[in-house]
Amino acid sequence: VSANNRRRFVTLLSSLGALAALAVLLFPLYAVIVASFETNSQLFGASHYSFFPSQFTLSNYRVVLSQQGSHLLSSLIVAVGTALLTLAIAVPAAHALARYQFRVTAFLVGSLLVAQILPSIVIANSLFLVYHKLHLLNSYPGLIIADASYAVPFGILVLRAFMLGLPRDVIAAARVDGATEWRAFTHVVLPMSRSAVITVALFGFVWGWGDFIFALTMLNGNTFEPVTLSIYTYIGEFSQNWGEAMALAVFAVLPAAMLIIAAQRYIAAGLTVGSVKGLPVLRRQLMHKQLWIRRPVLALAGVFLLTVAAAACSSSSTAGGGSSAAGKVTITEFDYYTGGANTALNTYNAQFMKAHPNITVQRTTVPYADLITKILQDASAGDMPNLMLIDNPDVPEVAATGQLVPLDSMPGFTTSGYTPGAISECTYQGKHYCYPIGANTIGLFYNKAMFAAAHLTPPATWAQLQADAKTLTTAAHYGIAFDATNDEQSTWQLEPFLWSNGGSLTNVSTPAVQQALQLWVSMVKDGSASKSVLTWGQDPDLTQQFLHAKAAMIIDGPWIFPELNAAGWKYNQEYGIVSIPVNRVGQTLITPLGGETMDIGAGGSAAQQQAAWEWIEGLQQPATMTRIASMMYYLPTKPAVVQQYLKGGPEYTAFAEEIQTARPRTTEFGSNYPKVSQAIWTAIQAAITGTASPASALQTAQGTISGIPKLGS
Amino acid sequence: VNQATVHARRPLREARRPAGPVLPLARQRRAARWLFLVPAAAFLVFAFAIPIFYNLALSFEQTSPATISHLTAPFAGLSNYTTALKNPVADSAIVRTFSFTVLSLLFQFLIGFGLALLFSLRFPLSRFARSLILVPWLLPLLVTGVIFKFLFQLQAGAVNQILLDLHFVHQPIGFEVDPGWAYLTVLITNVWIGVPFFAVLLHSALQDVPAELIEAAKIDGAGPWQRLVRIKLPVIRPVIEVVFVLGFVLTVKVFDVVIGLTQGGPANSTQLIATWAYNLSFQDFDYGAGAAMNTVLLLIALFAAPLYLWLNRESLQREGM
Repeated sequence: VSANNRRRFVTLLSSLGALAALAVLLFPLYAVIVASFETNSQLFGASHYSFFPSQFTLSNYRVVLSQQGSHLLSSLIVAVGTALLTLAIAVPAAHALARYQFRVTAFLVGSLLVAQILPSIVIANSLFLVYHKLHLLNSYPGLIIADASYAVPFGILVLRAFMLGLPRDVIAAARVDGATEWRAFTHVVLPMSRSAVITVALFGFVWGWGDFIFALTMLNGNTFEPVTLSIYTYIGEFSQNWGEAMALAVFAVLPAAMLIIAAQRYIAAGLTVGSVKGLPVLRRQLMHKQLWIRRPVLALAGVFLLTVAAAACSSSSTAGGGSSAAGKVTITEFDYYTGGANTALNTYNAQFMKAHPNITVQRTTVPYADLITKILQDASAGDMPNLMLIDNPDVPEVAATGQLVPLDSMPGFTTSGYTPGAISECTYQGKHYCYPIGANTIGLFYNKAMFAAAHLTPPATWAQLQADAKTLTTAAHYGIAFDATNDEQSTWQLEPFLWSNGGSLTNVSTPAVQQALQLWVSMVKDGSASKSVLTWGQDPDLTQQFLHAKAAMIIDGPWIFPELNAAGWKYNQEYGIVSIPVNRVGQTLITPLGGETMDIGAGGSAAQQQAAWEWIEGLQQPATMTRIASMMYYLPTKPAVVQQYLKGGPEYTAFAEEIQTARPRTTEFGSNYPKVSQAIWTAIQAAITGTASPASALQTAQGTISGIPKLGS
Repeated sequence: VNQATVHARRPLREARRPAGPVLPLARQRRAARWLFLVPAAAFLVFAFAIPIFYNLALSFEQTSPATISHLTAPFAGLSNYTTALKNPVADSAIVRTFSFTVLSLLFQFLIGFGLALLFSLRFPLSRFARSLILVPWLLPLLVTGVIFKFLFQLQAGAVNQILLDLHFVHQPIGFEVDPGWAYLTVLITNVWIGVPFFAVLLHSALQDVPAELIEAAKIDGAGPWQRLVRIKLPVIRPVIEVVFVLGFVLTVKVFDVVIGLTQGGPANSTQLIATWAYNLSFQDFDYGAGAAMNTVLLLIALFAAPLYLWLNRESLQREGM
């Protein structure tokens, strides 16, 4: 009896242990599913994470279905393509390696084992350049071939191991009966290997579906995008939009979950390959399971149908490519605009084409991070778009390729009547390459109610900023939030502090720059700012913190106006904006100048270049400039136009003042600015995390910056 | 069709036909064997051989965005290696990749083996649990990274909430904003991904330990611990070795998880060789320096190659190598 009791006890204990292990292993999936049914204010308005939310919404799924269907379809095409290509390559090869004695068999099997070891990022780096030459970037065949590299070596090894176990005499008999090698392969070997073929197909599908490295490196344009890449874009651009990101993640996880349920045996069998004792296990698991085939096939069909249904729900927004007729000019235009700026550009294009019936503008939008890569690639290939809207710090780098048309010779080109920064940011080696489409910079947004409650006025100096931030910090909210992420945005946010204090990018190991960085570090250290500033981007992270009353002040720019408007926040009621504080009274505030520039690519015909110039010139007319700037939440680039502009938009007042003394980021380093910026944001992160003191972090940065050539050298 | 009929038929056929027809059959056979291999050989060359050798060539070239269209760039000697390796971020990424790999393997093995032992006991939920446990391993790695980024948030993050509710901590931990914790967070995520792989493989190996051996040991009076250390571990050692090598290969090239979770930050505290190489190539457009970093990664990964081949020697020897 006692032995029986003991056994029962062990059974109970192991069941509990297994349940606990499962709970830990599967909790992340539970959290994802729950979050996908929550609203953003549930996820961010609350100060607690709730394990069992009280209300559910389907809105995340509605948004994802309407926007991401085509991406799910792309993933499906890539996954099915990868599975099919893998089988087409692996099945015949495995058959040959299992059935015939080659002198090179051992070498080939060894190579396949080694091929499994090679890191994909190494392959991606070279394949990117090879694909560039072969025009395979941004194409399904290119991505599928790359993705097959995950599965082909594995597939050959699995299939061969399985086929080695097939009874040889059956194949021999088929041959003797007069079947050709091919017939013996298709009619005898293949049917007998069904289950191994399914295993390989499943892995090919799962790996093709889950690929991220190749999608990230091989796809630069907006031709198509698998769902892994769109999730990455989601957390990059909408990093506080977790509800939708998680709903999308549920879709991304679905195939794996379905396959596990339907075809666990095949997956487990595939896993055991590669282990010495794995081959007999594989055979044992697969040999007698021919009847299992229906379930994985059904699961695959299910995944397929679901994805197609999702894609059908989403409104397809593929733009039809226009072709140019005789006597007409077609110009290509590239930009990365979304939201209001996107509408603005479409409006202007329509207006422009109406006024110029012989000109067609073909617009292409590319994700922000990819535009400069794409343009530099096009420049090196001598195949530039006619018109492109380049972020202003990138202008020198593109101009340096010699693939931009200088505007000085264009009829009616002038530099008078513009803010100084608007002209200098477009100048490279004495020539003018662009006009800005608008200008912006950053200021200090503050919550009026919180300031009134604390009887405070907005700060003008660093000391006041620090004191106010401290006073305004409570259990419910922080005093201030800024952007200290590991990208250009954080350098851009520190620049007004270091420049106004007399610092320069050429030597950051100076007291002026150290004090600026120290100010940020102090505010994080004394708790006035969350350590999360290391991960909060300007928009929407900081905007969300501000709108959910989690931060009394944020450093941000006019691009957040649409979100504030949408939330019903009004200038001078819920929020106010002042210029960035300076260290000491009397210092001149120098903020960085932001905004895109309009550039003309070399290589087009004279008529195309002329048409592109007319497009740019059209935007210099005060009425058009005002209209487009307000739609894009920019400031006009002509002081005379700004005067009028402020009457309709008082919320731009602080920015308009700052713009007068704003500085383009490329003043000191030209095309090498991105490298300098990287050194500085690395120092910012090191100082705020406490890895290094501000002084030593900046000294390290200076070590990098000293090796970067300055402008003109 | 059994062996006997095959043997009985062959002489008949050969007798009926003149000596000639055997030859085309043999020739066809010889040609066909090679034809079966052509797609695979072409693919291996295109997707593996060319990229590896091209990467090596690139690492000695002075590349820039302007050289993309030419496939080759001016010779640069060792300058890519010196600039890439002189960077403190690169040095720490190399050291970190080592420590990350060792710690990942250690915990993946310990937890995975524990689960394997648990599942080899007989209890009602065993099969059900074993099938669900595979889910983490099959998720797209990037998605896993993003999910954990969500769980480990500072504000309103689930993990912090659990720790606060259990009174393990009084202040939320900055898992993603504190360099030390960020490293640990990526490590935990990677262990979560690898545990099912270890557990399933080790479980199936444990199933293969002959029952007679265990029974014999029991009769000899060996306790559970002695049976584990003296019988089971030695028997499944070959599997453990291979699992470690495969685990090493999977971890040393970790990329998606880091990108989804921390993107190498904060302050480059989670930068590994693969992510840093990506940064150099695709963020700084310095393909030469990226290729140099990749070569370092390749050399480390290929450490595993001879080991892996040796462990697979049986299946290679079968071919008369």
